[in-house]
Amino acid sequence: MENETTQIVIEPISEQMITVSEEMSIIADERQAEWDAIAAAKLTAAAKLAKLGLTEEEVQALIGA
Amino acid sequence: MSGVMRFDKWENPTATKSVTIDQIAGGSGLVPIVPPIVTLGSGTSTVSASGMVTFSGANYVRLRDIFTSTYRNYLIIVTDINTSAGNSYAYLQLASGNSDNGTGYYTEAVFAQVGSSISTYYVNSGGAWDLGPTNAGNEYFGSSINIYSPGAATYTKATFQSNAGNGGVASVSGGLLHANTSAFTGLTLFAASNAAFSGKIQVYGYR
Repeated sequence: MENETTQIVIEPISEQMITVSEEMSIIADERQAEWDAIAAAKLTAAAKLAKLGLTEEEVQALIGA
Repeated sequence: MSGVMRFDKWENPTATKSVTIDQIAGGSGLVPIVPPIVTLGSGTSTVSASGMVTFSGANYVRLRDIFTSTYRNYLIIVTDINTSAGNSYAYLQLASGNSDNGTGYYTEAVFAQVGSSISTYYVNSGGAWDLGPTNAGNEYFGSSINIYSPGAATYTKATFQSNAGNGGVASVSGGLLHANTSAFTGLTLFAASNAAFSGKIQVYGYR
């Protein structure tokens, strides 16, 4: 059952919110790029360690994967 | 609480009696709040009799006049968030009347995802609280946020726990702070880049 006492209003998005959203998106993108770089570095390290004959568990223990 | 019933032993025991039992004063529990006004940047919204706000195609959802003197602390349940254009993030701001406050938000979070190490992230003095990543698939984003004293003229603190859908199940949890001593009356939920999104949001007051 819908509530008939709530007023639903449509208003354009404000400049302030657009600015905030863009700033937050930049922060999120930078964070994602940082995480991707860490993940890539771990993959590289894992590949090098695997060549030394270490088991998968030993590799994970060393790089914290 | 008054709860003593006394009968005179000489009264007629077969006479009809009516007894009023007071409600338990100070009872505890969560009380659903029906927002008096819901403002959307676009799209459509419905509100159930118990206050569940269901929206679609919105680029923000503002629930106005939900923080009152009746309750001090609140639980916000956000479910079924689908950012239809693709991966995004869910953000929350506090509002006074029809105006959002866009500064002084701190998010300190721990992020755990299938197949990845535990990460941390933070946003210090940002424009909104960051509740974690969302996506456009079936792995809808959901979050519960406990907000402490948003209606008081003091810094607002909160804690949150999200199940973020970006790339599979992911757990995000953390502490939130709004470094602003104003009293706030509502909140606004939106996605990164103001992407259109759909979902549901329900507010409860802690009694």
